[in-house]
Amino acid sequence: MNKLYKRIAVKLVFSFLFGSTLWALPTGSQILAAIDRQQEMSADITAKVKITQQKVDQGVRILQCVFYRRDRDDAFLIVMTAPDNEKGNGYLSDGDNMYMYRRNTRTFQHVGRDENIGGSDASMGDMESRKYTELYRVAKDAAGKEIIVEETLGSANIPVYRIEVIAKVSDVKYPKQVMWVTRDKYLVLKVDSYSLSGTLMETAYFTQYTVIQGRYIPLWQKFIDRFEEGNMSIVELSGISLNRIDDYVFTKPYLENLSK
Amino acid sequence: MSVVTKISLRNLIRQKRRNILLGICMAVSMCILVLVFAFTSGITDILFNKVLVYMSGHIRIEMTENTNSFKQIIRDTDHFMRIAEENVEGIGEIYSEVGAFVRCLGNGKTTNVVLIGMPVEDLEDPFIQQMKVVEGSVEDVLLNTEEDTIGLFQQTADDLNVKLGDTVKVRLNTFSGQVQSAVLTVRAIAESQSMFMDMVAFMREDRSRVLLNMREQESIGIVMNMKNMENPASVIEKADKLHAALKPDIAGITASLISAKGEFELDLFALKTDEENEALYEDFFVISAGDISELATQETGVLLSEQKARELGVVPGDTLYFRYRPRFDETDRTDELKVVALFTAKSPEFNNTAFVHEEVFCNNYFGYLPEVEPAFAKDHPLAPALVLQYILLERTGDSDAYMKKYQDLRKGEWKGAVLDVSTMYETASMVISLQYVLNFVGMAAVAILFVVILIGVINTLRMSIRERTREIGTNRAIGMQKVDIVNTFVSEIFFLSLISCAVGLVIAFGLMQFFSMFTFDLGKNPLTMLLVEGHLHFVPRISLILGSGFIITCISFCIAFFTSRKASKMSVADALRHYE
Repeated sequence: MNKLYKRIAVKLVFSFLFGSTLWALPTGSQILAAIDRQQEMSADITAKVKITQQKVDQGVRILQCVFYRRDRDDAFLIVMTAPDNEKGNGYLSDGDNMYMYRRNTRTFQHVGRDENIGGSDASMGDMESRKYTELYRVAKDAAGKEIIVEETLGSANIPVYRIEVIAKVSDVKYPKQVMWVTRDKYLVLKVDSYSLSGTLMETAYFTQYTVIQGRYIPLWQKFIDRFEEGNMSIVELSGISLNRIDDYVFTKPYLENLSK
Repeated sequence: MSVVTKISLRNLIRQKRRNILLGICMAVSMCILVLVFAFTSGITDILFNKVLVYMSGHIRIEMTENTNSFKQIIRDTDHFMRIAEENVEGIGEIYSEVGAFVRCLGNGKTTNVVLIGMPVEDLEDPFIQQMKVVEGSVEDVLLNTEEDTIGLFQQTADDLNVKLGDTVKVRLNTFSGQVQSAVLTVRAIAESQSMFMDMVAFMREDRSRVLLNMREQESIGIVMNMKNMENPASVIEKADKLHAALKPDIAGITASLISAKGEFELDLFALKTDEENEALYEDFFVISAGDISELATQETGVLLSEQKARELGVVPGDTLYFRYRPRFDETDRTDELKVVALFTAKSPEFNNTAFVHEEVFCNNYFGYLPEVEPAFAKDHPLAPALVLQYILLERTGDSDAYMKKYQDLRKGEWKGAVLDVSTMYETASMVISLQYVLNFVGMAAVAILFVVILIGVINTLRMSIRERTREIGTNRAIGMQKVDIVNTFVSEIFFLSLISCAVGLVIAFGLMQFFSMFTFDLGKNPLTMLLVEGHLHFVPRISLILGSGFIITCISFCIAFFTSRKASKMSVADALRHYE
């Protein structure tokens, strides 16, 4: 029995002394993979989206739409519901092709990934789900160590990992990002995005995470333009459903019908 | 000098008042014609030689990669420049474009500008030459190595609320879509020219390449402007000829295939493995191991000849690598391949050839053109099953067809390059339509005015000759022949119209100078496009001046001929009795 106590005592001492190694930081790829897992929907999603866009020279503009996304093939459908001049317009991606629908002319037009949605800063390409692990790798410092720092975020002192990632591919919008990710569930709370020359261009906040059918979804997202101070966008999600969406939803006739 | 000519000239001097009034009418007609022709030619000159040359160029070569995200880039600019120079006659200037549409932030103000890179060594460039720098200098922008600099037009500088020495922040997307930013110091401000020109800002080309993440040989397009644009439609024929000369070859890479057993050089081609092409390659090789259908799904798949597989010591399922030296890079390019099948070549020419999946081929070939490209005859029966150096888009006639062509292109997922040759008739048809409309309106207005004046001239001329019927009778009575009568009047009117046209021409040039003196400040009104530095722009063309004179002289000649001939045919007694 004494031997057992001794063994436990030794283990505890070791744990105390070398705790830092036993509780070592996760690697960059582990964190990125965890973020991907969190963001991977593995379910269809329907949500109402409200985008409040504030621009210095244009004032405040509010866009509202209904967003449908099919997990199987990344197909999505966006139907604009506000403002009036955008109402009824839509954007459809059936996985291979992207279309823009104009209610006034009742026409579909093939568009590319760079086509913006409803005159907002969001583009069709932004709606595609691409994995962090495929786009980025964690940056390394001069000593070759991955830049992952434990710190706290905000007045609530939320324990987070701050990681710096750099693009692995050339067709990613921001070549460098710094992310603040919760240590427990790897939820992204804040992202600083940098240009190719290393200038901070945008700060994004993701808050009000809610659990829907086991998935964490940020209901409130804020994007602050650091290039043109005073510009920002707030994205609010509501009416979220992860129920399966019928295939006919991701078709041109359905979009046309919705827009009537 | 013949008697007829002497009489004609004497008559001109004798009937001063009548001839002066008639001459004024003719001179006004000539003046109006020359003025309007010079104005419409001026508009044409502005639109074709001052707007279109910078907006779209007369002829363009553009290349796009990845049809879905539309990366606009020409990887080997010199190659296409050479072909253009060899096949297009009458090129006034040819240059490669390096630039981007950027968001510019000045002192609390923002605007969008087209930022273009100017070659450092090219201070004689027409764009630089036609600019009137009012603050700083072009040299301060292009020869400055101490800082990143920018040159702006006054209107943009005002919009951004910046002065010489201030800094502006720019935000742009690189050709691959990455966000880029920079801080640039304003080192030149040029006098505003037109709405189009004022949108342009310029900086050193080498620095703009860094911003756009482009290499030295890369550009976003090649622009050709013709020397002489009197016949704008001639660019279509030239573009068609260039298009024919740009037919692509089969794309290939001479690479080293590396396995554990060794390294062997061979030629790589991308094979399209759809059913349509299956029949094609069955004529040249037989699959002896593995499954060729895997080449369609395995993005790193490679199809090797049995002989080469033996040398490399690989079987289907094995992994090997290929390596090649890119044309414009110092370091070799390496990528992984997976053997999916082996073939027995019916012809020995294919023993040293490997066929790979389009994905792995395109990812390497188009971004990093190989230094050595194997030749593959374009008319070889297998050629349709292989990937080309680029897809050459069909020529289009107008902007609608041009836009449809690109719309259709977006439907595909082709990751390789697409090359297009276009003219201003496709890329800037709105400007050309504007030129047509302005010319038409101008010509219609002048035609109406001209007809009104001409009726007056015709009537006056006719009356003047009829009034002189008794004079004709007297001349006939003293023995002058009918033909001499006609010749006298025709010569008289001919001399009068000649002198009037000359006077009208002088007045027209005087008016052009006078109208050009006024400066119109239209702010951001699109009509500024039709002005040069705020002034009306006249381009008098010799052909049009001669044409105008010819029209007036011809009309006068006809009236004089028919009226005098009618009078000369009268009997002498009737002519002498004639009274108006």
